[in-house]
Amino acid sequence: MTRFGGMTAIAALMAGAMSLSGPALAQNFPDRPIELIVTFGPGGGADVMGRQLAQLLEPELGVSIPVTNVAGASGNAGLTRLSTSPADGYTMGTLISLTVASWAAGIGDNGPEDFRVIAVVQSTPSFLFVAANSPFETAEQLIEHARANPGALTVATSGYGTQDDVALIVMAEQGVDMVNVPFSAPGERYAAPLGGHTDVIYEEPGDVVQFLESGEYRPLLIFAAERHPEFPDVPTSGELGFDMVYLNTFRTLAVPAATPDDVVDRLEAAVIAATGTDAWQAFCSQTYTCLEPLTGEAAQEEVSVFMQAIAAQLDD
Amino acid sequence: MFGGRVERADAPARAPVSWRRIVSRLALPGGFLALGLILPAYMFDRPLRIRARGLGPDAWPGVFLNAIAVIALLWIIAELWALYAEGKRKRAMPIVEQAEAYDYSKAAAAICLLLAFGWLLPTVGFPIAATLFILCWCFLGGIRNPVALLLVSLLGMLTLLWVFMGLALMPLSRGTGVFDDFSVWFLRFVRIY
Amino acid sequence: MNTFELLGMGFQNAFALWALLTIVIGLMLGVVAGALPGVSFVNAMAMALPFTYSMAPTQAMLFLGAIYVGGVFGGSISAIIINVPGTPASLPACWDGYPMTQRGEVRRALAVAILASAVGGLTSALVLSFAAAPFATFALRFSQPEFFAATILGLISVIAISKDRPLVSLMSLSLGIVIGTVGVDPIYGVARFTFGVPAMQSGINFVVVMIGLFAVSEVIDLIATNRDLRPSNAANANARVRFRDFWDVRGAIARGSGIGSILGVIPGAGATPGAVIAYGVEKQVSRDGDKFGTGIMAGLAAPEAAKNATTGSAMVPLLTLGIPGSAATAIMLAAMMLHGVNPGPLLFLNDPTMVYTIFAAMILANILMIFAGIGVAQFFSTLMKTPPAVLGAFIILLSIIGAYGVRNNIFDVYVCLFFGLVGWGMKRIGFPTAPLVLGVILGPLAERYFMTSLANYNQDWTVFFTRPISGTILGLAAVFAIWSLWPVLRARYRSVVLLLAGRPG
Repeated sequence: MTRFGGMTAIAALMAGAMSLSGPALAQNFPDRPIELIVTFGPGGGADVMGRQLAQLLEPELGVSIPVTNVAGASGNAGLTRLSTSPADGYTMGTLISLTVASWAAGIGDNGPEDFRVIAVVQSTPSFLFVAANSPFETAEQLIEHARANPGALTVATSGYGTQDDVALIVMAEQGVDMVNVPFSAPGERYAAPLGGHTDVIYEEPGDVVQFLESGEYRPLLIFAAERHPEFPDVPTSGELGFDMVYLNTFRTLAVPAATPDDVVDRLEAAVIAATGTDAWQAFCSQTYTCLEPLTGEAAQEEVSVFMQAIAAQLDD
Repeated sequence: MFGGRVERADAPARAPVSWRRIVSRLALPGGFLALGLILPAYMFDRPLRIRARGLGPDAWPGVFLNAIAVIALLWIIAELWALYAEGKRKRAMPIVEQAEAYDYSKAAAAICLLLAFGWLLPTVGFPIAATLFILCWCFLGGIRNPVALLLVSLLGMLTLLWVFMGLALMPLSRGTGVFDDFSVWFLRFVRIY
Repeated sequence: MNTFELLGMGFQNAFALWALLTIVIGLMLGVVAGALPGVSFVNAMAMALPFTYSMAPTQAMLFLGAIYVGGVFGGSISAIIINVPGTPASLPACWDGYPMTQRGEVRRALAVAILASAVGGLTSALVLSFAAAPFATFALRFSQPEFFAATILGLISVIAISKDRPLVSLMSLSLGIVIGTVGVDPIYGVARFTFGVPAMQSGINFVVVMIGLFAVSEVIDLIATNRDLRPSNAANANARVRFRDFWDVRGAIARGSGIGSILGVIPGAGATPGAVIAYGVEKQVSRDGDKFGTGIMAGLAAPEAAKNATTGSAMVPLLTLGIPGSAATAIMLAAMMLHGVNPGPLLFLNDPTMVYTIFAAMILANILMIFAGIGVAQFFSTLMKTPPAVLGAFIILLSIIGAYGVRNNIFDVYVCLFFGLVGWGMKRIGFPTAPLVLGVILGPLAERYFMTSLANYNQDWTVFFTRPISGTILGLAAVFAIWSLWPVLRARYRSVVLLLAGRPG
């Protein structure tokens, strides 16, 4: 659309003009409110993360950080707004694995090269859970049953073409064929194994804490290189003989790619400080998402590796 | 549109059904028929890159586009039937008269104003666009007192700014370039920033 | 302790000064946010979330619960006064509430709406208090085919809403369903009908469509006809609120409350389908059914009661199972989790005080809502005294801010203006808009449920009929459709026979 094209061009020009005055600007960065774009609607994981982080970043940066929810197109509507904002650090956004997966499927007009990832602040492996009354007590039983009866077991996931889907496809290629049942509404997905509508659910533990603590969900398998410290009894997919790339669900904070280095450094330091606070530690241990924030090249790498892994599966 | 009206027609008129009437009554369902037949081809921008599972992403909208085509066809048949019945009974349809005077030129002006506002909003920012819009709309609506016009548009814009940008923290458009600078200055001036 | 003792304890807590204040402030915020088109109560709850960090967990839930209760009602204030549904669930309030305003009976309409909402909410809060546990286990048996069947029932009610021209209504509905598929599809993650424009991947949001179709087009008419919306005070004896009015709509309120309480429990069904189905059912049941849409009080009372009746029951799956059925309850879940409270069966064992304080507060909030509602409605109805041109300008600006505010996405402003023009055109040629809006709202839900059902049951489409609950609901939908269409079918059949026989009808 030409109108949007024009807007983008104007925004890019402005971004260019602003970066000319960059060094002077960065000296006393930040001196006005920083807008944090949450790329999904209120109530979801990205929203809770964004609002929590904004609250903890405010004292670190000394300015207010109003949160704006810009939802649509798997998070790409918000990211387009971010990438066309002036690259001066006064606009940040959430960039999460779901959106990166959508790029691989051809959604959106953004890519990893349009953003500078300040830090990966949350990252969590996914699990296969069953309901407490499920006949499967261990991962071995589940896998044995799936091997013997291809396509008989159903798994609730967040959709086709997501990391959930890729994990199931890889398992199917290695002889364990379970049916992907896409539930895009989280509430319905969580209810599926409890109501006996699906046999298994593929989920990150932070989103189903309530069911884990009440014992209604039983974790069977973790998709990670090592066992999770909170779930020492749950075997990894590698231990059970699966050969796969581990696709963690991650949530990052990003700014437009052209943002000057010193501004990024300032934001990075603030994020590291904010995630070191007790409040953040309490939040992340509640949601099983604690990690040493990945920054710089490593953070950027996480995003592109994830995208390539998804794209490789889709291209088959 | 069709059906219902036929029963109500009780004027003892005669005129044969003119081509113009036929065309005017078939235009809408004809347009829908075309829509239902053409749109399936434009569902996707690029070739699909997904594994074939289930019915696919084209099934659901496809069904309803077909439904549109079928309903349009039934509609055309019903219209033709009604026209046929009309001709056979040698009766014209009563002309549906307007209940109240409708000023189409004013409506057209209002639509132009709306489009202009939509176009201006992202460029010049909410404060300027809203002030101009209220001013023009009230003028169009018959308010001619310049003091009233200015007061309503300025105070109205300020109230909206305060409620939505000040209290609800909504990021309304500030415009681009010089307009952005102006909006930031203005927002600081009225103490919202 | 039995339920009554626990509830008594809950009331003691809810009547504490801090709790009462929290509820009142939450209610006012909710009603105002709901009444402003675009600032939905979900937005208000999200914005209130950071403020709850410093509160005790129970207080946080009371605050959010009060915003929720107030907000679901608040949407009807703007629906009745300016024909702009403040929240999607207030859509049916436009159909019979706004015509009352046009007749100068705005106060009466608001009074009926407030009372119906309060009764609905109260019923639902009582359901929550006494039947939470059994309801929750029942709701778990609902799987995707059942959700699909319930959505179909909602779509079928379109026929009841405009039964004289079923073909045109079906066309409008189908168009709405196709419009609802624009953007990224929820199952495959593929962009549909974007015509090469990246911004269109955001999809067409139904709130934006609604604002455009109803508000923007109405204002164009307002300026083109020089119509005056100002209440014609003393001249109209019907303008006054009478107690008889409430008595006359008791049946509608009771039915609406029942439908809303039941639908609210089902995760994902929620306020909007509840209100629409209640409207459709009431249209069939009421003696004035064929006059619905011209400002009949029963047509306003039933959906009002139904939508507020979903508030309490929507908290049933949240508190008993930890399943958020809607965006509003998802925010409540987030608030609870941030305080380290995990909803679920254990909550009732571990912290009954908190649970029953929430129950008592929901009951209290619905009673207090009458006063909060009257206060805000009073303020909004004084706005009606402004000249139509000024009112029109502000309705347009509120609509555009509202459309933008849904997702803070400028694309939505263009969509809103586009549908404003489309709605104006549709009105001029007499093409019904309500089915189109329902299609945009319920279409995407129906698709999601349909596709997931097929994936879950081996692509076997008979599952919708063979599962007992889903089959029953679909059967009901069929009965409902025939019941609504019967008069038309009979009349058509007769006229066709007469025509074929060559006799003038």
